Amino acid sequence: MQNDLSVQMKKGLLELCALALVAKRERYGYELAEVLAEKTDSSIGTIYPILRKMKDAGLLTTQLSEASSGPPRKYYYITDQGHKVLERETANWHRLRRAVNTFIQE
Amino acid sequence: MKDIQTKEQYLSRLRAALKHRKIDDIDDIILDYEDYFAQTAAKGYDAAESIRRLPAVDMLAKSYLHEAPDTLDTEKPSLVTRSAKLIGALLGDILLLPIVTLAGALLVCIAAMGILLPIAGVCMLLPHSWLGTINVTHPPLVQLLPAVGLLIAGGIATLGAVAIVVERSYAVLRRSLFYHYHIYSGRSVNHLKFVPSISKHTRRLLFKVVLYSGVAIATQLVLLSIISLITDGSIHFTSTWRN
Repeated sequence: MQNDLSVQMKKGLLELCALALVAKRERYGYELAEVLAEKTDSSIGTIYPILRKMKDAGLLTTQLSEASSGPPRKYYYITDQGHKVLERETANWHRLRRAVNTFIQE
Repeated sequence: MKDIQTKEQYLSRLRAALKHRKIDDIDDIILDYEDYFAQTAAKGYDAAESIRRLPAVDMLAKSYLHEAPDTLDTEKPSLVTRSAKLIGALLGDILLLPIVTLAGALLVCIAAMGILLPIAGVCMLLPHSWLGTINVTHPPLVQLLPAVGLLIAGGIATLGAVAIVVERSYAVLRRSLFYHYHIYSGRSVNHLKFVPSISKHTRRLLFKVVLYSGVAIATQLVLLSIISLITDGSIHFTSTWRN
């Protein structure tokens, strides 16, 4: 049960984290996946499907850019809808964090 | 994933798994992982290490399935949509109402039988019963036992049937109120989980109680019929109690 709780928590928060990172500046796929995987202790392979889902939902958009070597790089940009969702979910996160801290400290 | 040794094998298997699941934009997905392998190679990881850091091909392909939306963006449906859904739910309730009524009536009949049978059991034992003609002589044990049996079985059936009626009514009421509110509010949170409900185990127990009571009642009635045959051909409830 502990592992399930941890996995579910990460699943919910990874999208928020991805939006927050891309909102600061555009990032290419591997860079985004690596940062998220490292900071959240997740598998890098689980990040790509999440990015894709967010792109399908219209929160992110992508653009291919030729790289000096290797395959073209896919850069992720946040959309207007992504900005709205980021703002909303950031507020929700702060509320949730305060609530959970209250329970944990009781 | 011991049999996948190279980047080409992994990507080939992934492409095949995605095709099998009928995922669109396979090329776009594969491009992500080609970039991944290129980046890890640039960092000095060999193919085996890069593959080890990825999930198994089948699991990865599964994660690309388009499930019910669970992204952050859950826009509230419009007022028209919510109202239409609410009307639909109410119409569904109205159509189901006759079936629910019949089921409820059946349970009420069981409950009524459960009330009447103990009364009959009591009347078999009492002299000059208020029902008038239901009296028994000197009740031998063989007549006493069915009376007690009817009392107990009837009592249990009543309790069981009443409990089921109450539980079902509560469940229906709870669902109606919160489900309709949930539809109209357009919120994705399921409020029902915050309302306590009677567990499946308890419900099964209640149904068993009613079932076994029904069997006990039927057995008692059969016994009574046998007794009437043994005594003098029929049960006469007209004699007076004598000491």
